[in-house]
Order: sequence, then C-alpha cells, then structure tokens
Amino acid sequence: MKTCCLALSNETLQRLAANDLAPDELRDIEHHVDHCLDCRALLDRQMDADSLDNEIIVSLATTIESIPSVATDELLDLGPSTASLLRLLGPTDDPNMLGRIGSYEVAAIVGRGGMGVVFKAFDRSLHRFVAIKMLLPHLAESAAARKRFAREAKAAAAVVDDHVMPIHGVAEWNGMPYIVSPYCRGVTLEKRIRDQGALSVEEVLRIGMQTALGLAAAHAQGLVHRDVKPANILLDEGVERVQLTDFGLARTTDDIGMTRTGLLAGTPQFMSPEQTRGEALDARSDLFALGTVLYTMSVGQPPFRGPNPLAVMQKIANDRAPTVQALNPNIPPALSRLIERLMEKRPNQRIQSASEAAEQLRELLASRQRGGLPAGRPRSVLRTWHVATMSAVCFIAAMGFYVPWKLAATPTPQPNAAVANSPTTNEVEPVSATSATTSWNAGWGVERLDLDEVWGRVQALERRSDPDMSTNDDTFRRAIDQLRRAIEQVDRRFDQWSQ
Amino acid sequence: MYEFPDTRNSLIARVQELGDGVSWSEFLAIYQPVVFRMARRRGFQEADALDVVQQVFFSVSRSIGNWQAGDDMPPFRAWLSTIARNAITQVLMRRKPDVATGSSDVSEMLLEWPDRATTTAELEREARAGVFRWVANQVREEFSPDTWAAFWRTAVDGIPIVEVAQALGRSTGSIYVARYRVLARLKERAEEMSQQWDLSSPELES
Ligand SMILES: [Zn+2]
Repeated sequence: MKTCCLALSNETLQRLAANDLAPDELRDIEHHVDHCLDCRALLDRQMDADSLDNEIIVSLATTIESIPSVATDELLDLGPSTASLLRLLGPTDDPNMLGRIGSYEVAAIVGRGGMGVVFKAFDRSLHRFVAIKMLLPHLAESAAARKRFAREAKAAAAVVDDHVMPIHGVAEWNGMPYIVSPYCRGVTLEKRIRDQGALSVEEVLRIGMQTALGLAAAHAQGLVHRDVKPANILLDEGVERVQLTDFGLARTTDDIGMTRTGLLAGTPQFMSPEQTRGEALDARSDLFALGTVLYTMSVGQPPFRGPNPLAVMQKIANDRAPTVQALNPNIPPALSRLIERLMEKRPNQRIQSASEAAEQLRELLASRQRGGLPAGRPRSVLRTWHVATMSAVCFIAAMGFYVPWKLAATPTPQPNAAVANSPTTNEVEPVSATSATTSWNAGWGVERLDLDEVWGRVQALERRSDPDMSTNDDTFRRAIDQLRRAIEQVDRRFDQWSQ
Repeated sequence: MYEFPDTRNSLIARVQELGDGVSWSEFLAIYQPVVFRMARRRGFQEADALDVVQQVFFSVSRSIGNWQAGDDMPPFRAWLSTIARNAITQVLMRRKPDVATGSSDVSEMLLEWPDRATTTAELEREARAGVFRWVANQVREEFSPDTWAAFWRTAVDGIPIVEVAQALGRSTGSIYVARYRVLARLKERAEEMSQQWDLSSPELES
C-alpha cells in the first residue's frame, strides 16, 4: 500500500459524482483506490459529509413496507419497466455498464418519454459519450412505426444547422431502430424554467431567436417538428447556444393513431390548435408552438393549463391566453405582440415563417441590447393606483362569490372616470367592500393587487368552467365585459398620463 | 390491426397527468406510503389504513382542479404537497382506529393520540423519506445492478466493504468508488426533488 493525496482531486470527485468519466478512466481510479489508503479515507469522509447523507440512508434502510393493492393502483403509470428496457440490451463485460447496443456500451437510462427511451452510452471507437434514442418496445412492434421512425430520423439527420441537434447515425439493434446523437451535459429549457421561473427578456429573445433559426433550417428541408416544447430545447451550458432536438419523431406515433388525441404524445401544452383537432400540419404549427415556448419563458408558465390533457387541448383550441405583458409587466409590448401573432388560432393569421420570426426576434434583441425596448409601463407607479384597483377588486370578488342580486342591484362601477381625475378620492360605491376584499385576500393570499393582476384575474374568471359560475350567464358576461372595458380605459388614460 | 397491450393503461396514466406535467403516479408513489405508514403507526388495521389512504387521495384529487398558474401561486408540486399534507393531517387528526375492534391497548393508545404538532413534524419527516425513496428508485436506473448493489450493501445494509467486494467478485477500490458515485447522485437528486416538493429541511436551509 502506498499513500498519496493527489489522485482524487476535487475535480475528479466532481466528475465521479456527475458520472462523467470514460470507462477506462473509471477503471484507473478504481484501481488506484484499491491500493491507496489516503483515497479510501477520503472517500470514507465523503460519506458523512452532511446530515443529508444520513437522512437518505436512514430513509432507505427503514422501508419498505409494501402497500397492498389500493384502488388507485389502476391509475399508476404502467410504462415499460426498467427490467424490460434492460432486456433490450446485449451483454457487456464491464461491471459498471448496463449492457450493449451495437458497439456502444450503455452506461445509464437517462430518459423515457411516451414514445421512446434514451440511453447514455459510450462510443469506444471515438472515446466519447453519446445519447441513444430508441423507440419503446411496444411501439416498435408496428412495422409502420419502425419505418417511420427510421425515415424521420434520417431526414432529420440531413438538417445541418447550429441550432438543430446533430444526429451521428441511425441504425438497428435486434430489429429496433435507434438514433445516435451527441451526449449533452446542458439542461433543457424545461428544467431551466422549472428551476428559475420566467427568464430575463434578453434570454427569452436569444433562446427564441435561436430556436426559430433551427426551425427555419428544418422547414427549409420540408420537415415539420410537430413537438416543439421546452423539453426539446437544449441549452448548452457555458456556450450560449440553443439546440432543438427530436425533429419529426412525434410523427412516428401517428402511425399508431395516437397523436390524434394527443394522449400518447405526452403533455399537450405546446400543441397547436390544428394539432389538437388532429388536422394536417404544416410548418406554421411549429410557429404556434414557438409562440407558446416564448410565452412560457416570458411568464414562467405555459399559457394553457388544465387538470388533464383533454382540458388543456380544449383551451388551446378555444381560448385566448392572457397576453404575456398582462402577466409580466417586464415584457416589452413589442415582444408580447409578437407572441400573440405567433399564437393566432388560425394558421394563416400567424407570422408565416420561422425565418421571419427569427428576424423579428433578432431585431428586438438588437434594440434591447442598444438599451431600447423598454417594458410596458413602470410597475412601481402603477402600484399606487389603489383606488381603481380596489373598486375593481371588490367587484371581481363579488362576482367570484357570484351573488347575482348584488350584481344586478349595483350599478357598474366606473373607476375610469373617478380615478383618472383624482387618484385619491374614492367615489365608487364598493360592493360590500370589506367582506369581499377579505374573502378575496383569504382566497388568493394577496394584500395588494395592481391593475395587471386584476386583469389576469378577470381573464382567469372568464376562462373558468365552473358550472356554478356559468359563463353563459348573461349578467355575468355583461359584468365581465364592463369590467374589462373599465380596466382598458384606466389603462389607456394611465398611458397617456404617463407620457 | 395490431393491439398494443400497454395503450389503454398508458392512456389512463396520461389523462391523469396533473398540472405541470407531474404525473399522478409520481405523486402517489411518494405520498401513498407516507399515509399508509402513519396510519399503521396509529394502530389502524391494514384494511382500515388503506381506507385512510383512499380518503386522503380522494380529497386531494378533488382539489387538483383548483390550481391555476399565476404569479402568486406556488409551483405545482409545492402546491400539491401543501394540499396533500393538509388533507393527511386533517384525516389523521379526525379518524381514530375503531375502538370496538381493538384490544385493551387501544384506549391507552387513544390517550396518547399524537397532537397536531407531533403529526405535522412526523409527516414532514415521512414525506421527505418518501421523496428520498422515490428518488432512489429513479437513480437506481442510472447505474449497473452491480454498482447499485455495492452501494446498497455497504451504505444501507452496513456490510464492510471488503466483504461486499468479495461477494460481488469486484475489487475493493471499485466498491469504494461505486458507493461514492451512487450516494453523490442520490444527494443531488434528493436536494432537487425535496425542494420541488417543498420539503426542504429547515436545518439544511439555514
Ligand atoms: Zn490516492
């Protein structure tokens, strides 16, 4: 036994933790630790570095009382088990590896979606990690799906662009087609948004522009992506490069007749209206999705949401999302409008090409970087508009409770006139102000609301499908309309006043 | 036409996808065992404990539609976590094991029925453990069965490294390295997921 303090540098430990070492490097380290007491001691010390280690170990040690079958079991996702996925692999000699696909050594299962599974594998000939994407076994049973998968992948491989994830090759393993692409340590846009919420305006523009460029390159080859969403947009860490992945793959499921309802394709949140209806798609469907992605980056949440995919699809087909500017005042009106134009329900009313969208995003980015392109309005000033806000709040709160006699008995509040003249006097008769605002606050956990938030609420109310608050009710509809006009008017006057 | 055996079930699963792409199954996998264990610990028979589980998740499922995206709404997992924890506390504070079926210990046990603060703390702990177990199931896929076994036997079962190395026919060094790799990954994911489910431990935050 010799001693040393060098083999396990912090960097090596980090790469070990990140599972980032090539098989031979890993073997060298194992060999070294086998003979080095210092490194063993170092690894021992890592074991109880903090209380989280202990908590995890205790949690794992004190399981795992299995729960007998519960009625809810039928709701469990019965996707392919790990065991069934591992059976797809050939045997390997390396005990650190899961198995083999062709000449690739599979190191891990790194993802699985409604359609396929992604392995992380090591390419010995080129000494690098790659990502291998394979169709799920039950989908690959269909010869049509297998052929389509291979064909789409080959078409996608022909797209060479900085903003489209390259494809190293398409091959077959035991009759199952698979795609080999670079293994990326970057994060997906989905994860970025989940971790940090809305992105900065510059980032929205930069990522949006690069995504649009990637789309333009593919569209030029006659390819439609069909599944543009944050999970398919990779952000290269360090380099400011964005790459679009999984071109055309969503199409494979068409052969099994599933995307018609969108169920197998996973979350429908980024579908276009024509896609939710199962209609024929062209490149403009991707542009709607691009708009949805820009929207999601701008406000931190996708525009159309619901308790289940069918509800989401209905909203995509029928509802208008609130403008991003209404939800996030930091967003410049020009960007907000661009998103609206991408998200037009009818394809022929949208911006017509990805290159045009890219160009507009590039211009916005350039003017932003020159210091132009201010946000819609100064939010801090707006916050002083309590009177307008308050009356609107009371009104909405009352509607929230749906007290029709109150709505009928109370004349429409006119915050516009009263407020625009004198922001400090409250001439508006509040609708049971105390109780309404109290309940409102209790319900939403807000102390102060500003106009943007009120606006968001109005739109939320409009979207609500609660049968107790039927939107077919004329009184309710009228009230909402009046309120909307009142808010717009206050908003306009404010804009004039602030210029 | 070829029948795809998995289709029906995966359709059900997708329809059950909740807001934010969180699947009902992920949620159940984490919280169901938590409720079951806590109910059993309070003296419920197995069948009654399952009843409690169902009661909780039925009440949660009714609330799910209430979540809407918004600046002032928490992210979906965090929100769901709060809803679930409220429902669990409520049900466990209200329901007691059926005294008629119990032994003489039962009345004794009822006297020491855990109060709200105890229940809340226990729930917090159990839910974190639930997340860690779920994470472990996920992370397991990222390693070869050998590597996972090396971690589990040394770290969880507490078997000396040399013995595990012999049993697995691997070098001692490889067991050290395997244990480290798996635990590092578990920690990374555990931190991420406990944060997402709004279960970050207070002492770890400070
Ligand atoms: Zn050493």
